[in-house]
This record gives sequence, structure tokens and C-alpha cells, in this order.
Amino acid sequence: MVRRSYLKLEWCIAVIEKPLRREVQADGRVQFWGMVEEMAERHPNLHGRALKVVTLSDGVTIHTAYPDRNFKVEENAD
Amino acid sequence: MRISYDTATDALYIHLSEMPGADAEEIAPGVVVDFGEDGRLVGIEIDHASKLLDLTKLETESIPLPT
Repeated sequence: MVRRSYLKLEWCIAVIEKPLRREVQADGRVQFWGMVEEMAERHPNLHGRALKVVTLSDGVTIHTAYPDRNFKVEENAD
Repeated sequence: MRISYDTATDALYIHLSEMPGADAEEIAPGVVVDFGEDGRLVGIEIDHASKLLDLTKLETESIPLPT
């Protein structure tokens, strides 16, 4: 997380708490995706991108997070 | 260049530059590359590194390290 200092921990927590999509990986880790308005405002180059957060199998401990170019909101929104 | 490994998460990171990242992209399952503000590659994150790489040795070839 430190290496992606442009991402805020509070954004990751918000995505985990209210994801657009949640998926459990084969290794038990959990992937969450969510849109973070503040991320797009602070970093215009990331506009339209979902924030992907991967936790360990506990669903809470953040393993990694990054703006996901491959996540399509229209296909995954509830 | 610097290589760091987190045993708790089995994640390896190759620091290609000290420039901070400004963007990222998953280029293969479990492999995320980081780009600086100028679009240049600044780092590579490899998940499940012990399964993908041989972490028991590290070799360099023709790297112009100062003697």
C-alpha cells in the first residue's frame, strides 16, 4: 500500500464495506471493487476506474489495492 | 533497483525507480505494474511469488554494479 501512496486507506475500507462486486479467489483471498469519487477528483487520470482491493481470506486484512482498468462498472453494478 | 519480499503475503516487489507511483495495471493474474506520473514503469508487484519464482537464489548478469 505504501508504494501506491496516491491511494488512501479510507478509500480501501469504503470499498470493502460497500463493494460493487465481491469475489473470492481460488486461494481464499477476497477481491472487492468499488468506485471512489474522491480518488477520481484527486487523480483525474484515474477517472472512471474502479478501485480494486484484495484482502487476505479474513476479508479484512488488505493485501493490495490498485485502480483496475479492466473492471467495467456497467457490467457489474447492481 | 531494489527487490523486496513480504513473507506474510508472499508478495514480491521490484522497485525499478524511486519515483512514486501514480497509476497501476494488472498485466497478468497476480502481476501488477506501477507507473509514475510520466507514464514510466516504476515497479512490479508479483503475488504468490514463491509459487511463480525461485526465491532461493538471485543472480545478475552483466549489470554494471560498481566495484
